[in-house]
Amino acid sequence: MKQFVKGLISFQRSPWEAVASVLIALGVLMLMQPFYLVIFTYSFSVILTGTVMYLICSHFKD
Amino acid sequence: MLKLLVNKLALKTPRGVSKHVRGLSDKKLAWLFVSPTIILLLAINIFPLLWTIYLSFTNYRVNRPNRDVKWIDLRNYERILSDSDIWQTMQATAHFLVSTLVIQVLIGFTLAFLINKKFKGNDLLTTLIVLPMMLSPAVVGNFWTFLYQPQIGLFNYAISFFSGVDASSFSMIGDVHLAPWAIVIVDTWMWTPFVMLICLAGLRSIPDSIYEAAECDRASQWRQFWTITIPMVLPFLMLAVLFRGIENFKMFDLVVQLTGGGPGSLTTLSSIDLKREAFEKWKTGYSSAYAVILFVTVFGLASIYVKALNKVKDR
Repeated sequence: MKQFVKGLISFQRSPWEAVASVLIALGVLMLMQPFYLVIFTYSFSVILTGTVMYLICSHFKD
Repeated sequence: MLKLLVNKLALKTPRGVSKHVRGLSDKKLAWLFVSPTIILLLAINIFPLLWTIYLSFTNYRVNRPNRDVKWIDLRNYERILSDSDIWQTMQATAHFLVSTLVIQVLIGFTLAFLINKKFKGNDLLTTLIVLPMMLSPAVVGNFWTFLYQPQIGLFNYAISFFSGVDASSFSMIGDVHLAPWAIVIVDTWMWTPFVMLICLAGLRSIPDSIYEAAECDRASQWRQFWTITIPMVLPFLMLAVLFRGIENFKMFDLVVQLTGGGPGSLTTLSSIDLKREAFEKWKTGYSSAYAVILFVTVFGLASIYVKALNKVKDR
């Protein structure tokens, strides 16, 4: 965990990619869940944030 | 003849142009040859995408070309993401996507595992299994509509034969509970061979020597399956899931032909809904925003999936 936070602070690729992947997966789950319309409403923002973050952090150094 | 033509062309080239071309470096020449393809790709791929993103922020309607096009910020996105019908459509798409992927991977891998064993008629059986994949979705949709007919359909009779339920007592396409599964069954019938072929390629790429070494170490068949077969086929399986996932996310023709999105809007997948918004209701700006949402979703999912695939391959 400490290593992960350290990686985030020093802008390493893998921890940032992991965060972006979790955001995308979470967004897709929010988009397709059958429980609350409010969650569906915010799903696209989460997916877009994750995707843009993924595109940016894939250019970070490993 | 050709040499003559080339000579003639060379003589006709203006002196200034020929001198300029002769002075180009290899890198510049390479760019010169590749540039028509790049321009074409930009024109047919990137430009429509950028144009769609622009339209998604406007109230443009393609059937009213003379109306003023107004920039309406994020209003289209707000409307789509608070629409309960679109939410329903997303759930139908998720049901279709998850069900087809799980069933196709399970059956496809099992078939590949069985076909990989050497037996008489192996090639003929592979050809027969692969046949549905070669048919057009419109044809498949059409004849499965006949197979699903409650009165004359073979499917209902087969179910009746095995379960004893009256054949005309249920309608696969008309029933609220059965219709989502009707499209899953047809897609599975059509595309499981594709998953099977990819798994078969993976299974055939495993060298026999690994199994022989495992035999020497007295590893059981079950152990060999979990520690050799599955890890080595996994990248191929993931590739099959990626291809089928992207294809099924934009599934249109087969479902339109089979159920037309019904009963009600129960089997209306997001691509069908998008087509209706764009070309039946003519809400171009609105449907552009819808398309952008679907694009970003698939793009994001594919990105993390490709990352996972590379990790498995590097292992």
